[in-house]
Amino acid sequence: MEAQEQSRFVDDVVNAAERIDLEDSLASSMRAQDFSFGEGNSAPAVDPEIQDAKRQAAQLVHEPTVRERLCPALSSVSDDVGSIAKVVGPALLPLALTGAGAVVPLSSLVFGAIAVVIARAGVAAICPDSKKSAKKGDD
Amino acid sequence: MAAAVDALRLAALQRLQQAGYARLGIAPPDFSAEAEARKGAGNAEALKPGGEIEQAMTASFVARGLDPAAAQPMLKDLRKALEQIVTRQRALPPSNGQPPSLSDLHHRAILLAQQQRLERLVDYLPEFAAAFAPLLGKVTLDDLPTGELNARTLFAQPASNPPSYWILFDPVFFDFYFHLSNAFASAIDLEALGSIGARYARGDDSASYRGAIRQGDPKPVYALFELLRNFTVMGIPPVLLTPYDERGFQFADAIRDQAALFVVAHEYGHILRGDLSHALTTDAWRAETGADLIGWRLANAVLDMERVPPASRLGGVNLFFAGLLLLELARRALADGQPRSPSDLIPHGPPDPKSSHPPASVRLGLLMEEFRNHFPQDQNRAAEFFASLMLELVGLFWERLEPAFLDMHGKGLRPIPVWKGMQALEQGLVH
Repeated sequence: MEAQEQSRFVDDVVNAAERIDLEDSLASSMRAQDFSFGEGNSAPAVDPEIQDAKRQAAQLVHEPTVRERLCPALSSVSDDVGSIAKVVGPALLPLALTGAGAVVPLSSLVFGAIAVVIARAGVAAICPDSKKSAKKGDD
Repeated sequence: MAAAVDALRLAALQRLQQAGYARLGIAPPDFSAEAEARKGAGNAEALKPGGEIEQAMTASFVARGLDPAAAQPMLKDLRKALEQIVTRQRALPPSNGQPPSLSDLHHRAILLAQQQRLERLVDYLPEFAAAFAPLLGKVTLDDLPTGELNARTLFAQPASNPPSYWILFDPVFFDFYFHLSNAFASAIDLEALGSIGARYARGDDSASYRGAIRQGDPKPVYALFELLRNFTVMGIPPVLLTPYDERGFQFADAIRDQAALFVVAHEYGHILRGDLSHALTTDAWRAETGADLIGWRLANAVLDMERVPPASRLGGVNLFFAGLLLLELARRALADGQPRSPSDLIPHGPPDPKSSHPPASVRLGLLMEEFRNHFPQDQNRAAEFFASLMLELVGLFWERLEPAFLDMHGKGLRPIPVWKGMQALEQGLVH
């Protein structure tokens, strides 16, 4: 993968993470009225692709090879989705490209979902031994 | 520390707004005062005599073999409508080099005003203080494009303990209720509303709300047709700007302001009830009717504090639900081509398990009942008079609008499920 392609992929990961974050937020919100009508189902629309990506992400963040690459990269980022997504792409791209260790699909949506899973759980929960959690503990 | 959290929260909200616009396929807009001023100047320039719009309309009329002079009344309407917007718009503060805002600053001003009114209850009614005080500084109201005529409450990010909340309105809410309130206000004879309403309140059953309807003026029906057709078929506000009736502007402004207050208060109701923590397990209808009741009590307390007479306090609630009823009728007519009247929207069976909210008619009935239980008979009769007038108008409007919507169904037009609003219109994304 060329540097330019990699950079575009990382941008796609950030966009995917923000999209998933939005869908999650909408699904968990309370609305003022039911916008559906007639035969429409009022349940929040759930994109099956996003659901599948989130399912894969939830499994991948527990893979040792994934954590080995992710945790050092996450040691200096805040818990917000955007910052996490920016480091998830470069950190996991080598795993997806080489196929070493856990099978990480080369999918910006799955990478984005990993960023959302980490943001929801908190970096300290995913990487308990990272500098960040040590620093938090010191505080 | 608090400032850092606020900055993170603002960045998170802007990311959500950015993702919202991306999801709708709309470029992130620039709502800064400078951009607004540029847009206003551009519109004024294009509408000048002999300007871009007049040239385009003249060419279009000539191409269709029509007398170009026939475009002049439309141009006059457009110029008047633009003048109304410029005159009524609140001045925005300059951006002072800050990045472009993704929130419509006019919407934010409306929402902030409602929040400030609600927060003043802490001093006005001690019984609210205990429930409300923990929320001071914890609730942010803003825009979020979702494609729906809706407002939403959610936990703010990053999560905190105690939690902070976002109450986010889709920008289309403001456009829809602006045009709707103007149409209803222009159909009401305000002098007659006051005099006949007062007679009815005093017990005179011969005083009919029908006497407060301005008969024979086609403009409100036309304005509503434009509003409902554009939103239901294209998801955008009316394209052909027609000036609103100046006589009813203050009244329209008051009831849409009350409608915004009620919806904001309804969302606060969800927060106060703790519905967000139980969103997946709670009885959805109970949560909604509970939030409606709290919302109405809060809105009523604000209006009491502002010395609005009780009989006038349900105006916004009536407008909100009248809009939902008309919208439901228009969307259903487009969807299945079946004729209906407003009374057909009153459910006769058990709740539809697929709907998250009770129908508008049920929600309105519940709030009217709540009002009846708390106010003396003369106030009840006055409120009932206005509610009946609004429902009568819904029926009269729909009688005239329905054939057009059934005809559109026959021509293959169907309701669009996603409303992209003014930005899609301004960016030329609707054809």
